[in-house]
Amino acid sequence: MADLHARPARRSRSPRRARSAGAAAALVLALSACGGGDSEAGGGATTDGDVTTLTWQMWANSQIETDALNRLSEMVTEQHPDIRLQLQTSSFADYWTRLTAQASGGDVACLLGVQGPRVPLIADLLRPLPEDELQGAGIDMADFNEEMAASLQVDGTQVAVPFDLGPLVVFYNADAFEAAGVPLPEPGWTVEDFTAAAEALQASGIDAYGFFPTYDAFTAWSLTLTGQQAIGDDGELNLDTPEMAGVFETLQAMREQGLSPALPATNDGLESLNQYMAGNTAMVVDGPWQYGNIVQNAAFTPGVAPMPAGPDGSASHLAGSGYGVSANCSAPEEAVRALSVITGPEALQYLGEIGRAYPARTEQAASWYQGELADAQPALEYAIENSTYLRTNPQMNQLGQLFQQYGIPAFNGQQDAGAFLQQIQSQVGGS
Amino acid sequence: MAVTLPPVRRDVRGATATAAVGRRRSLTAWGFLAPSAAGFAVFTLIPIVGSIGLAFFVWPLLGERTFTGLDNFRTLFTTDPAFWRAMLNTTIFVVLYVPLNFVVSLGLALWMGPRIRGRGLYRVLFFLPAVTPMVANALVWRLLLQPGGLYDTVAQSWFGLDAQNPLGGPFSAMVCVVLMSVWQGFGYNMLVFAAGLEAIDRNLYEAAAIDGAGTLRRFWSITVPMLSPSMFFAAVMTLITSFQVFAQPYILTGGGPGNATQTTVMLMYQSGFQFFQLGTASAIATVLLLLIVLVTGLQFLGQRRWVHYDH
Repeated sequence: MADLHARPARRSRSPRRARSAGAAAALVLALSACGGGDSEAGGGATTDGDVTTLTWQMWANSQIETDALNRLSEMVTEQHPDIRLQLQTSSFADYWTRLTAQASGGDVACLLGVQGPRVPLIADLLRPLPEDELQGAGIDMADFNEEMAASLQVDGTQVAVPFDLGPLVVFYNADAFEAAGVPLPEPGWTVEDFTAAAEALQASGIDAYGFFPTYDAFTAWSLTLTGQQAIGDDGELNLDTPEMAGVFETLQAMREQGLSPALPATNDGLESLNQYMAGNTAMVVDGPWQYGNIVQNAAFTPGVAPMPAGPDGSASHLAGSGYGVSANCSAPEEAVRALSVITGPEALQYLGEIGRAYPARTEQAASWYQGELADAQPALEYAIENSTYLRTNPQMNQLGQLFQQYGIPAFNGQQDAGAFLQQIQSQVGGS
Repeated sequence: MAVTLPPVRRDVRGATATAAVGRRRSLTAWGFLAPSAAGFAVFTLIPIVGSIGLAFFVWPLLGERTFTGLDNFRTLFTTDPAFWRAMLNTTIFVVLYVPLNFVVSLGLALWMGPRIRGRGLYRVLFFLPAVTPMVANALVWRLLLQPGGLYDTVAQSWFGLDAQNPLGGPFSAMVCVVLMSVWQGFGYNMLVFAAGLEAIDRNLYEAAAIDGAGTLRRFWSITVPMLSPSMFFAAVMTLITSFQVFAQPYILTGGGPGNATQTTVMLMYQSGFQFFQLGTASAIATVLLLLIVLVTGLQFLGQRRWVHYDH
């Protein structure tokens, strides 16, 4: 009897134990599979027969953007049948965190999207691209906007090849200007013209100019008012100068005069653009990459003007993006060939025509001015001509974040301009 | 006789068999526990230990990592201008949010007491903010509170006040964050209290009423003690989540104006994922972990004085 009882008990225990062990083994396998997947992507390239597949990491905020990138990927395979690109996208905001987090685990794609101001942040990840190597792949940097090409260099060597660019410009609400009886701004208008227009607009019942204290917008004003950027050519931050304080005081004065609305505390860098697009403000400073969106969604007639000219004429800065090859890419020769296609004339012409990006190649730039965007041509060309690239340094992330965070109360008048800039300087610049 | 075994040998066999059964049971138990234990180890324990370890390094996402001992903590406590402000903001949030959450959730649970008609519907309605996405809620609140929003418009057009910008003032922005958080979060505690109230024996109230106890007396002497286990649970959970507050100030104010609403977890996020200083972020996380463990430990010690588990 004892045996009879024991047998079923053993029988029932064994499968249970087996199941438990199986479950544990499955978990371990699943976890190791996760690890395996990660390590496989190391080097960013795999070869199958004659075909090399390169991973391509890029930001895309919509399916339309992803579709455009996929089209570029097809162009690469059409021109180089031995290369395929495997696209990995994330939103622009997440892209940098994801890229640096993956890099910290030694897992970086072969081709990387690179934004000019963030070059110092990821410079270590990028493979230097000497001129002869680029020319060997058919890339002549003289074909690109000079300032934009310079913004993707480290110590004079390209680390990425640009595909788009954009200077900061003034977007205006043409309907509001007409209602206020103010002439539409044109290239050559001055800061005095800007102020006079703002006062007339305000008198007609609309907030004249929506300023949001991003470092970008501040630098557009500092360039046109003083000809200087807070970050110099050497990468040193010099925010705590009387000139910079004077620029911020000019902006504060607009708020005090009621020409600019007070700001709520927010980390939404598009706050002012959204207010402009909703028709609540008549002018805003932003880049041409927003213009397609503005034309499509604003319920008024929008227009573009360069930054109003200060004492030394109109000036602004331009920023843009490009593609680089990661330093640990195991197929750099193929990657540079792919690079020559995705930044090539055909690709940039395509991106320009569909309004996705203002081409960084000078010959293809005109392709952007299609349909309703055509009106922007005189102002944009004038702005590009009078722009330098946005100087940057490895602390750009901190600078951008803290400038916006503390800039809001300072702009609202809760802190003196000099004290605000000194605070940012001491936290970011270390002086 | 052949089947009779000497007592000693039988005991040895019995002991061996018992030990074998014990081992088998133990193995089986571990087998069942393995998936959960492995999940706990991989997704909770190892990350926590790893995070504490990171706190002793300068650990940029890219570049060289160096062991610095207690330097990250020293910097936080002595020179970092944002850390103490974030701790103060978190404390202000906890001090304002937890009592207000309790008053609103307990008040509504009592109001909806067992006798009110349609209390199920009310519970669903009041619980709705807790199940709707926090980000969407915060965005709606931002639209209401920003200049030109509903609050500003009503204040100016109905009451003739100056332009209102509650999200622009340091104190008013914190008040907005607390109010939005209470609106978002009271539903959960309300359900906990409502369930606790339903479980209280009605006879206790009847007996007390017969003895002449008034409404307040019945509340203090019956409801509060009988509800104390629910209140203790709610207090522990609410305190822990309020020390970890992140989404509400992140969406509503971005931690501003300046750093007036920047909480400890926001500072940790900023250090780790915006400035890529993982060592500093981990040090902040470790300090917060210790603080939460301390406060929760004190609550558990204090519960003996006011929580009644005997019915």
